[in-house]
Amino acid sequence: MQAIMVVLLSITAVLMLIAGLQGGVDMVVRGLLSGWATLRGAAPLIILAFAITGMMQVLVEPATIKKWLGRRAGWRGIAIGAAAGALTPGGPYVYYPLALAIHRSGAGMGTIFAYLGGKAVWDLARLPLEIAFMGPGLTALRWAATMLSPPLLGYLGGRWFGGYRAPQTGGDQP
Amino acid sequence: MSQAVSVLVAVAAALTALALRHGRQKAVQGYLGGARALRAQLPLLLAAFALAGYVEVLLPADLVQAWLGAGAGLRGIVIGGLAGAILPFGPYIVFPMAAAVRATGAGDATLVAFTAGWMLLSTGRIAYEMATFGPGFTWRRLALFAPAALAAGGLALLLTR
Repeated sequence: MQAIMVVLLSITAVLMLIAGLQGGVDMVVRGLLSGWATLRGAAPLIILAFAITGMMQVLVEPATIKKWLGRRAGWRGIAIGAAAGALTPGGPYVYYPLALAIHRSGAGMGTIFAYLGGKAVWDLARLPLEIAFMGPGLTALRWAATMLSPPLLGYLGGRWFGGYRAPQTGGDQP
Repeated sequence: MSQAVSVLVAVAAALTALALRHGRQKAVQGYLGGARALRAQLPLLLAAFALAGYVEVLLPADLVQAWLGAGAGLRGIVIGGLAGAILPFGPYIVFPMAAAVRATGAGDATLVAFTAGWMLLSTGRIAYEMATFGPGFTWRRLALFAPAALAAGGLALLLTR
């Protein structure tokens, strides 16, 4: 979190400097006002998106997903893996340890790749924010273009990398 | 925007009703968790929106339209996909940035490649992935997911022609 903050602030500072050199104080202020106007317009959506994410986190618990997916394989494992990815809220600190736990419970690599693919492009907790910023039309286009990715990635991942085994050490349980 | 707010209110209400079936405590826990996450992310959000503001003001619209606009074709998809892939940030930062680039004239297929590149390849998750599954898994996943990000942009290009 702190590292990301440092990166963000550094990039913003560089852009601010470029704005200052290009258009003086006027342009520096214009950049800040533009950001502020977007934030003010998006504030209700952001608050609601956080409320929805919080609610999903208490409704869809990691233990339920692990129980759901343990020892699943084949197309059934791929389909359930992709759907579970879509329903898993939270960042990589939540879903990678969970994926590892599912793998150690006996789920095949196809299920793991489908789960990570589902989390990447079908994430339901992120959907409200995507609609808010990108608009319903562009969001629908993005969904249409990535709709088949999770099952395909699960199938190909299982076929090509099915023999991969995660190291026995590392990965805290969620 | 108000339509999006209505949809989100409906989703939040439906989830609250579901949580209430498990008891009032569950719903309160959900809202408190959301509030805690918002408070923790607030400094990042403020910095991200300032950055998005500068992107909007500084990016020359004619350059964006030429390189990333609707007519940019495959070049726009590759640039968009790569730009999304290198971003280590979360959705609260990436979506405002994408909206700022869109406001300067980027095409829909480029934006799909950008968001798909970020969703499938983002550098922000690599440390967690290597720590849990090992570097060997990360290379395999990137080899598999990178073509999917570009394919998403290509498919969007076909769908919007």
